[in-house]
Amino acid sequence: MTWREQADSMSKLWMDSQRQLIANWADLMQSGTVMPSSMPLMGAYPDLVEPWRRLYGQSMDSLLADSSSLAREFAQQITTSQATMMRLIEMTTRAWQTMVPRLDAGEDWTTTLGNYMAQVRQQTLDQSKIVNAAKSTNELWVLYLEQLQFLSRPYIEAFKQMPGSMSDTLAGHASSNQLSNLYWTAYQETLGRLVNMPGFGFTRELQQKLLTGFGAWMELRRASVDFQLALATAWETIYEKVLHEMMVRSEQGNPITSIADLTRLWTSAADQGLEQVFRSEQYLEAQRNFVNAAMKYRLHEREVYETFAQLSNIPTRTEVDEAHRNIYELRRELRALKKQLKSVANAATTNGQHAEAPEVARPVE
Amino acid sequence: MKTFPIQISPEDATKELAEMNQKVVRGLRTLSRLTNDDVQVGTAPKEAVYRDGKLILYRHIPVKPEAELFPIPVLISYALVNRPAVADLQENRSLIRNLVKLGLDVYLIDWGYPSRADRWLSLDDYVNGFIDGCVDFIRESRGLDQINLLGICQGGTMSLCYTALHPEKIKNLIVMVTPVDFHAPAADGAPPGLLNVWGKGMDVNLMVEAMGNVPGDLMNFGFLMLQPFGLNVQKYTDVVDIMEDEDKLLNFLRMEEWIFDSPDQAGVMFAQFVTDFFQENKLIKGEVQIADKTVNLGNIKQPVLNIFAEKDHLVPPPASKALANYVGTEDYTEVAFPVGHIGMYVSGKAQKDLAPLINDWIRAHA
Repeated sequence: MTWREQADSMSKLWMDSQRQLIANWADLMQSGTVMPSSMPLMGAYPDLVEPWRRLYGQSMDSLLADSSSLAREFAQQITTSQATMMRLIEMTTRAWQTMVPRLDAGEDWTTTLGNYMAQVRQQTLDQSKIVNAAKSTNELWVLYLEQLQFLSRPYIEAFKQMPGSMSDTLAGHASSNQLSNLYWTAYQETLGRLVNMPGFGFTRELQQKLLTGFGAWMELRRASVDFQLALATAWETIYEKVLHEMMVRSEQGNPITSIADLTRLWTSAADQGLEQVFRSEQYLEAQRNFVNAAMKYRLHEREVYETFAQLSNIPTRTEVDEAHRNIYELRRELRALKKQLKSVANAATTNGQHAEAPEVARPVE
Repeated sequence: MKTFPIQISPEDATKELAEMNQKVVRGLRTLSRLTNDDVQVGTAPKEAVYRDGKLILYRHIPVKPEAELFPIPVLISYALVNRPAVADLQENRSLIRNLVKLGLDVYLIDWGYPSRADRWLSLDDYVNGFIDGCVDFIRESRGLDQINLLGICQGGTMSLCYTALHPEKIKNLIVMVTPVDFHAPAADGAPPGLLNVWGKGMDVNLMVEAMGNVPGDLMNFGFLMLQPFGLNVQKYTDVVDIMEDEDKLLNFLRMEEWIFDSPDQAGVMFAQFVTDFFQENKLIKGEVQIADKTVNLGNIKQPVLNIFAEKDHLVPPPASKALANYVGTEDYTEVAFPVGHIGMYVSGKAQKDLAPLINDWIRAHA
């Protein structure tokens, strides 16, 4: 049998196995005391993992309805891991179906793998949340800029350019920096300049906070895009590692013979691939920038919230922190004083004087 | 021609999936019989004897008559990350119960769960306030000048600081899986652990300014990201194989209970610990400042027992073994266990040998 036939066979096996898994699960449930509230169709399903996951989850909920919260949480975790396992197998099947025709045509496997990884990169980025996040960012930006019409023109220009730049970036024709810089340039041309301008009128403080907060939000969006691109790169590395490991096993005549074996190979190779990425300077920089940007934005956000809280006579985080700090410092002073009193009392006792030792250790009531 | 990489026959796949389903169903029936009470951890009998803020000092109830107890108590100081219950997961996996059975008088510090009001707690508060308060309470209540101190992981690092600053109050010091040289390479020459790599670039002061305390969930997320697939997928795939066995399932669930019971980290303390220890490795440089004093490990002149785990990926052996180069004592003993970081508490080897080792060493240094 050719590799192509074997890959097709594996794909069929996967579909059949999933149907079998669902049917088998349904049988088990029916033979017990629990009947799921709805059954998935047994016919051809474009994606069998999600229906299976729903069925599995319903059954678990029914089985464990009267059980402890721990049992229910644990069962949920099992469902998630099983679904992930199935998804990994599905991804593997798709990979081989794509690669095998080239291999059958006599292409070197390293070349085939390289070409496939280029496709994965494209698909991962196209379908990943990055694009969705960027789209929603776009919408958020538009909403924001509608409120700041006099500042919006450069951003609208930036948005006009964005789809092209995004496509270039995801296709690997441009660096992620280009995408970030698109936002950044627009910001520098408008609000960035205003941040340092003096405010006016009785709302100047709030204006200033909103503007600096907007800057922090911009920085966070930029860092977020860069971080998600770094994560997408991690997926690419994982995929490559897994498929490479399979090829090596194939060359060694040590093929994968069970679903458990396949899952183990995935988790082991994937974690190794991830660690490699997690240690890379590019990832570390993206992670660092993202966390720092998130923290800075949080601080700016608090400033804005606190302005409104003050107007409404609501205690602010800063005021509560200040109270806590005062209590903390008083407790430290109290502890220090007790220690000093104890030393004095001990010294007096040693010298034969009468002194009542303060109670340092507070007994439990 | 090479073999196609995946050779799973339809019959085998069907059989494997069917078996997996059956295991899950049988496992769920076992699971449905369990209650939250079945997976309680840290249940060795104990009484609260002292409190300071959220800290509670427990004394474990001896199983031997008071007169037969070893006269110098042992105070256990565990890490701030996670809870000390790992030293007492269940009756047959409990360092604490094993120590008590051997006639040691065991006290345990429970740091509690810091709230936002505890944001300002510092290394000074933990070492010179909390640990010192517990040590003084035990000394005074037992009429002793000195006690034994057993520090575990981060609690070991704090115990080293404490002993260096208050050597007159500690008879013997035991540290377990304790980081000392935070920049030490892994034993096999591999680069430092991922936590160190990530920790180096973090602006922790900014984090604390923005969040107050560092959430326990965030810490847990960091630990899970060390092996995302192994810890989030493979672990729960493998557990299906043991779900039918109630004892094994309970073992697993108790460990889960412990792992995900992560207190928030008091902000200032967290920032100090990451900056001074993880990022700047000040402990071995003799540069850690607590209040107005410098921590000099050379001040530790009392006997020291350093126990580390050979397969520890969180605290690699060289990070612990570095202690030998910095303590001032001439009575220094190092013991390796062929386990990982958590295996030090739960492995069969540790259950059998760890408590007797500590007990014998303490009695030999009476």
